[in-house]
Amino acid sequence: MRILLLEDEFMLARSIRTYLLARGHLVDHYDNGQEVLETIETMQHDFYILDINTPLVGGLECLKIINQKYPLIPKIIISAYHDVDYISDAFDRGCSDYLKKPFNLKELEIRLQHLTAQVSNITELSHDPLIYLSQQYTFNKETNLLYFGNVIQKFTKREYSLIILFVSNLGQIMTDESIRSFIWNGEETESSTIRSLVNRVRAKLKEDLIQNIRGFGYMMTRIESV
Amino acid sequence: MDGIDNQSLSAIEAGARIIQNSYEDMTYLMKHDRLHEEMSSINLVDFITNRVQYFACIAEVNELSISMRIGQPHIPNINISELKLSRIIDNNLSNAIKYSHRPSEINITIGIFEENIFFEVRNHGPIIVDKKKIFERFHRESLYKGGYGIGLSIVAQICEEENIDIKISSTPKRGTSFRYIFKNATRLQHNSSTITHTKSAGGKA
Repeated sequence: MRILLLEDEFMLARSIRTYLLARGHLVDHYDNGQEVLETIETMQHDFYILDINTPLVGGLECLKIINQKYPLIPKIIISAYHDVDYISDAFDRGCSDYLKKPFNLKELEIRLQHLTAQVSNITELSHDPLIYLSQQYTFNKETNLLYFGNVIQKFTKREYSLIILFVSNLGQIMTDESIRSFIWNGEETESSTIRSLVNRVRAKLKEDLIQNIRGFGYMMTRIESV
Repeated sequence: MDGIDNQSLSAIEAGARIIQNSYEDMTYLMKHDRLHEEMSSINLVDFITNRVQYFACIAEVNELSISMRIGQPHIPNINISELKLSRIIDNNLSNAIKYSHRPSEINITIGIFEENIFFEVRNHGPIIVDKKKIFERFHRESLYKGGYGIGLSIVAQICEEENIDIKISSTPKRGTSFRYIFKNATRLQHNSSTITHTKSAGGKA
């Protein structure tokens, strides 16, 4: 993720930055609100972390403008103000969460993860019924059908249940046990039966959407277009 | 702040949450026949995600992790009292944590099978000796673990009232799973607009 951080306290900004960087997030740090306003004109971040009391333009002012421009992106206010008025003001202006200073960096990360997960759920539900799996493959969530180009792909009922299962858990490993739970009602099923179902589906797919993660299970991932 | 051991703090937090679960059980036992039941339309995935977040810190202290898998992109809401649903889920999560080998993973699956919505909690721990007795009040599978043997008796009572099927399997190879199948909830979902309306309309006419 690419995160925008507005914080004028140098030490805190540095530790947030180092912490999030170690967890794979890029942090663009600004120590005044003016520069933030200039930046958001031309660039959208995946997450905003804003302090309230900042030079030139305050964090709440920035929050309001960011929220108008990017209403769906999560925004956290971090502040030493514990006053309820500030908190209510911040939520009025569209923040997703309010974290009181001092806070544990882990807590920031937990909230960050939670909020981004929420947002991705909302956006996936509310928009397009199509899930794009590759340049050719799409899955329609409303009809539960898989398309290659514009052509509906034929599978047996059980094979389709498996595809629905993988599509619902993109990028997550499905173990034999979880496949058994969904497709065989949790009943005793030989691993070889599960394997052969997965292999049948893999053989019918024209692209390598489902991978075998040896020792763990199977995973479906999007194939990004080059 | 740095002086305080973070691990001890987490352990205290976890302990408090376990006690809260026991407390909720007792409150439910005392009050359920006096409380008037409020049914609401609940999204099972969101509800369970929320409960899992609550229990995550207890799991972490016990070197356990909780994973969740969902069977369909869209799972219809169920009609049930929130209080009852949280008793079922909380007791299952707390038992799964209590009776797991460490470290290991607790797996939750939520989906639809043959028109019925279900959720399942699977963990790896000692296998259940008596699958019938565990639902009796004050029965405890292990006397070494804390607890009063109340949680599952409440769960059984609720499931009977709400027409929820319980399927248990416990084998050394696959671990232990509790599967809850909501029979009423989905049917109510399909018919809710017709059944409830004719009844209330009849009263007016």
